Amino acid sequence: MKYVRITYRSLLAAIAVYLLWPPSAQELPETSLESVLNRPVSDKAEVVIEFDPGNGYMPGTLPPTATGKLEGFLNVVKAFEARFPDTAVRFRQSSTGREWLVTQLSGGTAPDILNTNVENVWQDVHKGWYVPLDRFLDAPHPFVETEQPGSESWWDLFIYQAISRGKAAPDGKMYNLTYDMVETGILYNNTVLSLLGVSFPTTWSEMIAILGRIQENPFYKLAQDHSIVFPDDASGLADASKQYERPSLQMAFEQEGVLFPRTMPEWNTFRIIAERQTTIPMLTNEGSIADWGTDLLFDQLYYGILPGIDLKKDPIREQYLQGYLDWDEICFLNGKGFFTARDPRYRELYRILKEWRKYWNRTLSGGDQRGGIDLYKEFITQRGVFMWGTSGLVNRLQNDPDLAFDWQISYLPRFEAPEGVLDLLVDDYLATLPAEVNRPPVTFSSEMGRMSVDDFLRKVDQTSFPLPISPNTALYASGVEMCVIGGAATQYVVTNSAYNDTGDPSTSRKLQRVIQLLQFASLPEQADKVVNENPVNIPNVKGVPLTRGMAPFAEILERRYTTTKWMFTFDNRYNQVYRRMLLLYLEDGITLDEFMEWQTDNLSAAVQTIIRRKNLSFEGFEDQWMALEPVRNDMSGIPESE
Amino acid sequence: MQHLKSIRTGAACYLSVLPSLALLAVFSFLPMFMAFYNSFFEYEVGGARTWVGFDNYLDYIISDPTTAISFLNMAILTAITIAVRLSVPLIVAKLIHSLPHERHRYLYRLAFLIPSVVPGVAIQLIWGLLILGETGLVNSILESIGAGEFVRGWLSDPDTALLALACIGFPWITGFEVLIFYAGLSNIPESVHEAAALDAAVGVKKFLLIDIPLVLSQIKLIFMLVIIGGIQSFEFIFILTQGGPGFETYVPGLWMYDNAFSFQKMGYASSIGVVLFVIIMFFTVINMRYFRSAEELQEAS
Repeated sequence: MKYVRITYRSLLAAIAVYLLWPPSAQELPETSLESVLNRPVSDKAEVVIEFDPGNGYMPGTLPPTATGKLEGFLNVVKAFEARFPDTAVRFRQSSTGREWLVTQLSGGTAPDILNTNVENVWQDVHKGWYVPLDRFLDAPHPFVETEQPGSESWWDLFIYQAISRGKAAPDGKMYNLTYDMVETGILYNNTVLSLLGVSFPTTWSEMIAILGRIQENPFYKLAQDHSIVFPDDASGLADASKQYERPSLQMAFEQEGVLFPRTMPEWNTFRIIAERQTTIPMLTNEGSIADWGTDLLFDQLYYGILPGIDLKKDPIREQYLQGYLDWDEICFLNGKGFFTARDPRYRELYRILKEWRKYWNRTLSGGDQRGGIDLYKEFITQRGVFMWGTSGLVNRLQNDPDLAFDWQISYLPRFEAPEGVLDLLVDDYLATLPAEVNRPPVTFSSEMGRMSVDDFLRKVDQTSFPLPISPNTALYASGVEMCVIGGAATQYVVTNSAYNDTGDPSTSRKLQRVIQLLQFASLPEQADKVVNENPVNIPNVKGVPLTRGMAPFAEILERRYTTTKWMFTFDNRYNQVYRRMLLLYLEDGITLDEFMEWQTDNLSAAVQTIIRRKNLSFEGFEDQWMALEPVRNDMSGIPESE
Repeated sequence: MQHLKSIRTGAACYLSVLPSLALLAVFSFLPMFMAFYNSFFEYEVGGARTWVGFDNYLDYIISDPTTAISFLNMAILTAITIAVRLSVPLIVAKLIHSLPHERHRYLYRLAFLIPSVVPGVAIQLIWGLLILGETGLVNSILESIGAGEFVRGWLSDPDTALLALACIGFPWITGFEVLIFYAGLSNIPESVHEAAALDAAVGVKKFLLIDIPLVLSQIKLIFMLVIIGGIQSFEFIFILTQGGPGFETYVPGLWMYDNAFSFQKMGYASSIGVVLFVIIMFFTVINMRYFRSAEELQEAS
């Protein structure tokens, strides 16, 4: 009996061990992540390249937006290895944290190619951790046939030149290869807009008016006051429509400016929104506002004065970037009073953000894991009507079988440029303001009253004597359409590990292969395998087709590129302080004046750091600044020199 | 001669200790001295090293806008932690100690100790789920009982973030402290209890006048550990709020971490570390010198 028990238990233990034993890599399918990360290296391989394609394209993974495990880059690598049998490519999955990156790069153990954003790279270019790609990008693409894009210069293979070239580091060199693009857009519930009888706004004031109507939620009021009966399915549509024959109901709908629902999707949307007292007009979060929001509003306010402040004309990049303000220009301009509390445009930017904030979700911090709300969930459950999102969401929306409303994609509308307001005398201007505009409890002196609005905003301390301004109006608006602020999504860099065979980039055979792998992956037929397998980004390689849903974003990308992207890529410490204080300001933790004080100090510290770290030279800027003085004399809102 | 002889006799002991001492020197003392040394340089990983003297210290103490608010936050959080971690576990330990049956005392001790095996990060994340955002459990309860106007992102609202952080871990009964205080209470001689009973010192009076003075050694230990932890630690803040919103829950340790690893300002981060070290040393010396346990007082008298 004892032996039977021992045998029985041993058998159970053996079965348990067998079941729990991990399968070896050979038994796993080729497309499993473990197999991908443990691909055998051929004996013939003389060069071994370590490649981290980034989370979005790592073969063997299953991103939430994909319909199956990714294998695009695996196939590209196989084709490359077939072409170069002396080379093997090993996939590496890296951490996205900057701490990881810095330790790997300083130790020379980073993957040879990895995907990281410029804000990580620009901080460290002076340390020799990254290989400049200019000489390769300027040279002909070795795998492209004559007469084809890229045959003269690899650069020509890329579609979005301004954005791609805009990723050059402050030292003027290009370290990041922009493989594909991501663009922001406003995804909106068009069923709600149809019921409100409006279409997507074309100006900022129209947008604010629509957001205001959504916030008031007339659907809730109508349902509460008039006991509307909702149809459960299409068979009940006729009975539901008969309710509209009640004159009181007709009148109520007309008064609220709401159209009576006709179709089931309209009834469903009406019911969902009417069941909740509050609806979020616009879904966004702190990250989007600190990055995209700031840059877009910055462009709206500063674009008009670019001819007077764009001091550097890069002979190559200028034709693409058209007046883009680089770091060194920003630093120089900061010394002239720009982007400080003395700069009226700068103050206006943050005033507008705060006014716009009234229509956003209550919690702005982080994503759903750090206490923020899940914007996507709020949108598909119709709790939010507008969502500031990216091309990365389209695939999910399109593949969602339960989405019961009409959603569309558009872009933020422009601010209207006010006519002659800045030239008005302050007394006259105050007389034009509507009664509901809050006026501060201060009295302006008669001398102040005789100043022009522009002079007042530039010369009078706005902390002590704030000029009342109608909400959601931008006195310094340029009046141009919103620019592009999205851009490079996957950005490949070549690290110092790529030439560890000789220690010298000019003689390294491995570096040559690494570059060839990037060149090979950027061929249209190869990029198509990768970018369109999990279509969250827009191809940046000519000849790669656009997938379903990406067309609106490709159209947005045709717009003019932003005036600057420095707000988010300036300096890591600046960025963190900025994001923190902006959030606090938007959450009513500090006033605009306090925020301006923080931001002025923060930028000043960052400028000093950058000048010191990057050895920035302002050579020729002062002369150019003086030469542009006549141009600036005709411009408004130029800050007073100290 | 006698001295040399004793060293020779203990040679084996000295040799045995040597590897540990060497490791301690390499992994503890050397980094500490390196931090002191680095604090006088401006340098980042992989970059050049420039001598700046006391500039890092002056910048941190005088110019850095985060210093005042982060020290204030640290002081508030540490003060609250001291208050709750000295009082609640002591009361719980006393209650357990007062149970008449040893078996029951054992079970209660065990019950309070078991949660200690759960990693702190997991507990903090659970707390995060309770009070984070607009959809946390606390907010759901508030909404369900019709108190929707109180719903807020407890950790993201500038008015409540610091207080919400301080409430993490409620009711603050940690097994470690309960055991330490229980051990202290168990060490009080029976004769003291009998003498107290004769003097009619019972209940709260006995607790305040007899028990607390006799567990001062334990209070001193916990006090120092909380001070050191309060000044050094930032992990739970990093996990839950990352010091936000703004700098409303920021502490110096987190600024040191960010400067070192996010901004790569290693010299500056080292100077923050040195400042924290000095503060901890200050409290330790104060505690050692002026905060006497019952035994020490007895010896002194």
